Amino acid sequence: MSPRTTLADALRGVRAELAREEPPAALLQRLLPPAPVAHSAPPRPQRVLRLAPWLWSAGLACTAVLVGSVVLMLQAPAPELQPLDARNLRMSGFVPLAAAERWPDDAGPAWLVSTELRQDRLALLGLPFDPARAGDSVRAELLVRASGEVLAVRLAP
Amino acid sequence: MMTFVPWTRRSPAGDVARALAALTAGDRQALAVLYRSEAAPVYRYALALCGNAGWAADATQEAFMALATRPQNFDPTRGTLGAWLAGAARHALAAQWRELRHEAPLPEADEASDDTAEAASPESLLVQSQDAAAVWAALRQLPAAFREAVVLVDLQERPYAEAAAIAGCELNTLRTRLHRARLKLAALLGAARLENTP
Repeated sequence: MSPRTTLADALRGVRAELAREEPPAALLQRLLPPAPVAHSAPPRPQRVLRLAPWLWSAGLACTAVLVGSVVLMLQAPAPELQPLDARNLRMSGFVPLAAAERWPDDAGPAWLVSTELRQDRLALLGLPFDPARAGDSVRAELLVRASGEVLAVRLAP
Repeated sequence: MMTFVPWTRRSPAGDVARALAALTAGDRQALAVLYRSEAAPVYRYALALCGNAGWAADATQEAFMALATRPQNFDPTRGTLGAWLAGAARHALAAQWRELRHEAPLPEADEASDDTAEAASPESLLVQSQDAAAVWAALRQLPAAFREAVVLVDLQERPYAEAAAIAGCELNTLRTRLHRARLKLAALLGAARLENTP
């Protein structure tokens, strides 16, 4: 811990971190009874809409174009999305900083932030560094939640 | 003669009171209003105590289930709904700990005497996260009763009286636990100097 940080400062940081925690989104649903099923009235008979023949042809053509577009979209290869967890990040060269239980699925995306770190900071992260160059800076990338919580770090090339 | 009645905005406290009344009358859906108002602080309290998101969620659920099944057990003259729910979560955690035997359960009575912005730059965020991790690790090393005092007063900033009610102890006992906890935390963290706590 930074020697200049007092207990009050340290608790302030932890207080802010705790204030960002939220209970799981599914918890409320587990507490509530299922909503009653609404009984709807039988559907009323609808009038048949009479359109000109050329309007029917135009409608069929538009429908064909729409269906064709959807088929093309479904055939396109979907991007492979990796789940945001510590194991996948280690494989990308990241050093996880937050414990596994702080990686909830519903916490939203994380942002990649480029920065420069002092060399001596690398030792605190468990990364090797040259003590003779402790004051020098290195380029690094941080994985940060929108809340400001730093999840992982890696050295940039 | 017409009387002008000023329109007043509905207060959150009024919404909670109405939801409690509806829940007591048997409207289980009213629990949603109470949940949105009170769940987050209860969850954070449980999470800070046990450090496990799953256990904290279970304890929060137990607390709200207790309210849903027996809303008449909450007496507003004895404290806030938030304090009642936190106390219920505390009981749920203590029961889980006794069952799992992972840690010593939270004591129901007094414990035996014990021996002790800036700009959010990327690097400052990293420093803060490391400092916070050190504090969490030190908190885990505190006796459960001491940790609870710090969580309730320093982290959740609850009034002393409410914190003592949740912890199930006298006000002076809570103050003593808090003082010892802060000393022990500072020693664990190796702070350069002790400052008066906020």
